[in-house]
Amino acid sequence: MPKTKLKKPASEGDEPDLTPMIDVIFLLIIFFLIAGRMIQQGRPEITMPVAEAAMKSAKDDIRTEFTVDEAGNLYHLDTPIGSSFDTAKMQDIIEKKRSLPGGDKLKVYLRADAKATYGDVKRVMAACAAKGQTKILFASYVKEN
Amino acid sequence: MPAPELEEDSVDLTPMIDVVFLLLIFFMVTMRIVKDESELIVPLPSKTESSDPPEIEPQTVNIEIQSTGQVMADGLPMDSSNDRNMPQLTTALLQKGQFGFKTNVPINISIKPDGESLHMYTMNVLNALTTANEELKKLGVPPEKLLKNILFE
Repeated sequence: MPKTKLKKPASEGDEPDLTPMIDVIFLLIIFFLIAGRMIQQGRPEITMPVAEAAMKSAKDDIRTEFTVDEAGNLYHLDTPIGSSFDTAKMQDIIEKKRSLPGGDKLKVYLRADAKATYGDVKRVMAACAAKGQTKILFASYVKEN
Repeated sequence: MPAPELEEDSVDLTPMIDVVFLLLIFFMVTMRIVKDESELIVPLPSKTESSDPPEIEPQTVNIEIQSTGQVMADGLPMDSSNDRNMPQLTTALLQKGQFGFKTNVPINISIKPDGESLHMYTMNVLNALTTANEELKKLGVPPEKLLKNILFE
């Protein structure tokens, strides 16, 4: 007959009190939830330039976001829409946005990689200007890290 | 035979701690510190601007950005790409802005980066321009007299 081991009766002194550790771990989880955000798989990962005089983004205005990566590829939010040489889709988006009520106040938020060439950025700016879009916000970081 | 009731006294926290640790590891791995994005506003010249010739002939500051990042203002070498804050260019723009304010001469800023120069070099120049405008504001220059007529070539 196999032996059946009965546990010792639990007494106050036997087990460490885990409550403070659980408190700390919960606090850490809350910290990571607040300070971090989930990696957005779709949004193009770029390294933007640093401009210390730049202003903090005001999110309440009417804007649309485009990204130019280092290779000159163009994205609308997280969707690839061509390259700096092929801006037809970008112009369609701007045209549609500008035709909506309040569209004349539209701002283009341009996230360009620090190592993208000016040629790429210039073609994108020219595409905006061709649709009458003259308000462009160049995205940057305020600090290096 | 009655079941032993010895373990009922305390709740077993081990599974909960396991789950909490897994959650913690998950958030640590998938998180990324939010890097605050900011923006430099660049109004491009509008086609609907008045075609009337200005009363006073404007002066233009020609800023060239070479492919190496070297910046020239009206042909004079300014800061290199190593200095992101571009103090020389900022000072030159500040002086030009003060001159424009005092003499009422409109100042245009023409920025001509090399097609192969990196975007960050252009941003350095725009950063210097924004800093100069901030300084001009502090000196009492009204918003309409700031260096805002920017032309990209």
